[in-house]
Amino acid sequence: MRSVLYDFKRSFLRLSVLLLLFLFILGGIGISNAVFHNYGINPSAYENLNVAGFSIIRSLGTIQVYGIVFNNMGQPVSGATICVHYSGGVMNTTTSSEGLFNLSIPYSNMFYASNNLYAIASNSLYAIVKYDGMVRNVSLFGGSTGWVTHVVLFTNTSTFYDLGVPYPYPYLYYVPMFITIMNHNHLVMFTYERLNVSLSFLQNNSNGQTVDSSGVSGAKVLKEYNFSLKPFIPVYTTIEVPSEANYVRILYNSSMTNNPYSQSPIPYSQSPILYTNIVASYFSAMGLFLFYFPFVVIYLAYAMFAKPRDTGALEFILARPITKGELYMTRFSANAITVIIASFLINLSPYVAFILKAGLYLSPKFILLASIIPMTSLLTYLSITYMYASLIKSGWITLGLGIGTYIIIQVISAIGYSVNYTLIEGYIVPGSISQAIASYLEGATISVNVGLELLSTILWIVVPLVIGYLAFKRTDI
Amino acid sequence: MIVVEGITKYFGSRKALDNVSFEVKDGEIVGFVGLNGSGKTTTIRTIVGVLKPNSGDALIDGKSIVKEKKEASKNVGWVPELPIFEMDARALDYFVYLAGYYGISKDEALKLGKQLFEEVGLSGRERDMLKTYSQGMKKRFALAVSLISNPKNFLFDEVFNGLDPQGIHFFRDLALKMKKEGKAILFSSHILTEVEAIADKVVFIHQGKILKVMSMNEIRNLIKSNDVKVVLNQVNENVVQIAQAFGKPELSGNTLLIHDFNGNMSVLVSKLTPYGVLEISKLGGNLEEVFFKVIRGEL
Repeated sequence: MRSVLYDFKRSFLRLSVLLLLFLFILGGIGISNAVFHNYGINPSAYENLNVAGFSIIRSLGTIQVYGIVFNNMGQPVSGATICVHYSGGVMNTTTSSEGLFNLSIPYSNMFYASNNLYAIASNSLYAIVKYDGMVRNVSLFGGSTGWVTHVVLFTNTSTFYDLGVPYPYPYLYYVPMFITIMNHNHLVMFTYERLNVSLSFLQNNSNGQTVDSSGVSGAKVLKEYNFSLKPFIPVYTTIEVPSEANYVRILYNSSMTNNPYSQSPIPYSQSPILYTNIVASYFSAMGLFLFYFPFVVIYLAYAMFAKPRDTGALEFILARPITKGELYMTRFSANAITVIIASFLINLSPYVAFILKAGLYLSPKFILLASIIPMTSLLTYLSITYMYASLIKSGWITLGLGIGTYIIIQVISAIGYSVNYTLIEGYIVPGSISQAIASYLEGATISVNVGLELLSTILWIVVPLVIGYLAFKRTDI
Repeated sequence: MIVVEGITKYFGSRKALDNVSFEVKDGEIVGFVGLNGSGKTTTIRTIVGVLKPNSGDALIDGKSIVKEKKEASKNVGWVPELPIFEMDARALDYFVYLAGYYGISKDEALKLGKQLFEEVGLSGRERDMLKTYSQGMKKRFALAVSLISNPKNFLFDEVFNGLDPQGIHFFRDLALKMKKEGKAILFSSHILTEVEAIADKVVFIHQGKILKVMSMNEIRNLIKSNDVKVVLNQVNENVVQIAQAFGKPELSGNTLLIHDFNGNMSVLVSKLTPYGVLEISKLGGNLEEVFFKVIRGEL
């Protein structure tokens, strides 16, 4: 083990390896950029700035706007600038420590009908919210046409779990609150009237039925939260969502109407909508970069094993207290550690980018599993190049064969798209376990035999490694 | 002590070593001589564990290089003819890396490295890249690495090749110092005068076979002769007559050779003084003669 660490340290601090790791970090940054810019995720879906509130028709000619500004972690943003544009002017304010803002806006397009006061919706009433270089544009009518009365909910929220009921119904005739679950299960609620709210997380029964209001039809209520909301006082809190929960239900009792309201349970996914969007794009972007990384790993095997074998530098090492088998395995293990670290770096750099840019925290499990995708593929080409280096003394021929093998496998893979994608991509090519991992992380159905994929992936790494090991032990270096 | 026991080594179908056996005792310097391609380097690479023999073994202080490679390697140092390292490494870093195989920690290795670099004359060049080292420096570096475990056995393969006189002097003195310390030293060389100067025993190898193992005393006895050479300023027939009283003279130009000399050198000089004695010496053979005689099968 000590020899592996020495070999690893020495191999890790080589300029070529440090360059490799730098390339992988750049690759990771490239992946995150590709996700955000090349795969159609709109900035409004990930910007770490969210706005929600109510426009209330107070009196003829005046609309009162109450709103909150919060980030993707469901925390209030204080000091955000709010510029409300209306016909004939602009009014400015900043948010309080609770992320609150409140403005009284002159608005002339109103009329009475049947003793009710109505406003005609218009694009001319909107707010620009600015904070830390980010900008949100919010229509204060929740839409631009038609007429509205009393209260209008407006939102411009990143695609986490906006539980506006029924989502995405914009007119709050009967849903007097804004409620959303942001990243890491941070709950944000905001209402214009006194409400008692019950939020339940459910698991459907084996027949796919969900529990009804009395909870008698078989589904389990896994967790229930009760809140007493006060008008225009936002609630920012963290809830625990049971991992088995697949439905969510909201009950509330309005003090104004005094009528209890029960919403039918709606499907709930453990991953926010933003996650789903990003992850699908993430694997597409990673595939693009994965095409290039094997070249770097093949070169690493050449520089660390094939070349010193060719020049005779391994002989001097072999005169130390080490056997040939150990020399082979320590070199391979040292390079494998480098590959494993590089695989994590590929995923860690976009992970940081997702946090900084979108406030989206991916789980450690995600990073771990996503890292296996490049890791298995790269370990395969490391193993194959080591095998060639054991069988053939010439370093340059080894390098050529490593690259040639990779290109041939890419051609087979390309043919697989038109011939039998599942068979070839799922089981034949190296690192095929990535198919199952990507499907799992995307929340899609896994349509392959995971055991066979795993076996294929392991064999692609182990078989060349063992052949190389045995050949190296037998052959004079 | 190094014991080579019947090593046979094939490269493909070519037999490079054929049942090679000899031994190097503690406190002994053994010269290993042979023509190019005779199998000297192959034997040394096999003893050090770089090559695996097809049959036979080499025992380093009783440990088999084939079966107990790690234990055996700890007790043998090797300076190759053309040392090759991973040249993009810095010398001291690479030393620390190689010391790791001996189970030496980084701090210890750094300390030991500085000490050994000074001993082998590489002080001040520790941070240099190995690719900037000259051939002589590479050999000194290989020596420093060989000294990591302070082994009792050393293999010097054509170590004088490519060295300047200072380098040759350094390695010659080192071999003698090691001998005094009771170490077993095998060194191959084309420079037979160097072998003659320091070896206690000579192993002759030719076409992969050991032809002869002779002690230096045996060799000296073989090359001892009773001929005297005299170079004179002027010569005539009287010179031959004078010389006949001392043996069988042979005149060639101004040089008088007296075979089977049986007189007194100082008397001879006094009798030849009128003819101007420019040089007088007893003639003897050398290792080179013995070497070729062995190769030709005359010994």
